Amino acid sequence: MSVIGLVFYLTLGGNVLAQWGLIPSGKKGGAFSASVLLAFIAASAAASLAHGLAFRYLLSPWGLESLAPILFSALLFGAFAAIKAIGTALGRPSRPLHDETLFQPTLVLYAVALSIGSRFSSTGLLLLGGAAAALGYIAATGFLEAIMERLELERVPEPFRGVPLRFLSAALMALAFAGVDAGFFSRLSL
Amino acid sequence: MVIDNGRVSAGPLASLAGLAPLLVFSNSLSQGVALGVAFFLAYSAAGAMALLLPARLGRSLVFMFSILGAAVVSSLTASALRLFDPFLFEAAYDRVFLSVFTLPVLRACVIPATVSDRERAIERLLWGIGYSFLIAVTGAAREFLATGAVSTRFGTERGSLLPIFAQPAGAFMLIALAAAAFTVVIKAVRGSES
Repeated sequence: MSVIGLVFYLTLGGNVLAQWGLIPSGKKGGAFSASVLLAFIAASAAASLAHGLAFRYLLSPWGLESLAPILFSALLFGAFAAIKAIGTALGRPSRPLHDETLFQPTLVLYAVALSIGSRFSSTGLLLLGGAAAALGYIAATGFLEAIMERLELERVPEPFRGVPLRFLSAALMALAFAGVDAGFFSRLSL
Repeated sequence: MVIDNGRVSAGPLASLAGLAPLLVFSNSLSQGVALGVAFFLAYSAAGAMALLLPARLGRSLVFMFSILGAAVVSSLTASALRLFDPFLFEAAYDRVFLSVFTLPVLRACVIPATVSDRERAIERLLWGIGYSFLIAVTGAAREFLATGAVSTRFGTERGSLLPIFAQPAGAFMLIALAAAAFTVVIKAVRGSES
């Protein structure tokens, strides 16, 4: 599969929102700036690369695959400490790690790192796969928020408003993505 | 639980979004039980560490140590699963690992802000048991809906009833229907009380 095909696969058929159930809370949908989105894509690429290489060259040769969550925690804390040090040096306060708004991005980063790390081995593909998966998540989140905003105008039965409607919309998106995957990408060899 | 203008907007029902990665993957009884146990152990370890570590360490350090504790427990759970059923481990290890970073576990890692929050440890433990039970029951229900039968053995050849329920889309639909039914029941109970 070409690099372009790979990016399309990770944004559609292998989308982490549809395949891994990473539903955004929707509290701040569409409110992110371009710099935040770029930082998220870069963080996803870096997390995929670091986790993928460490998993392949540190854990797998010793049969220590079960230590993967500890490895990711260590990488996460190291990255957070580095960001905090840079922020302090530049005079910019950074958010604490226990800030609840960082929980969902952390979960997404780990899901992407697990998904990409188990699929690719080369440095380039790990970086590209991580970035493409983050891009796909951002796009799917945007679609979901747009659907939810549009549905606010419809006469949806009262019990389905709110959380149930968000899950139903995600279900229909997952069906569409699965259709693309089954009809197109499954016929190609990755 | 908060019902705002007739809809359930926060609280345990909203936590379903945080549990969704595990609910989506829980498409059989065996996987549901494995993920439910893994989640409960990680959740309990995180909550216990956040409660028992001295507050003078600071919120950030307590949070980090709690995540590490949950990660260690998750690693041990994965190792036990590998010994118990290697095929199930191969199919479920990434979700077992992911349970450490699900929203309920990360929330449990935050040190309780007040004394009254600390005293609600038993309540949080019961919620953890409830979430784990929900993951296992979701797996059994999806397996039954998808195949028409429930098997305690992973990888058993089964029939086909509504295969969509074995897919992520089926999990989302089931969660949506359950959440809507829950909303109706809560409203009916409140209506009968008033």
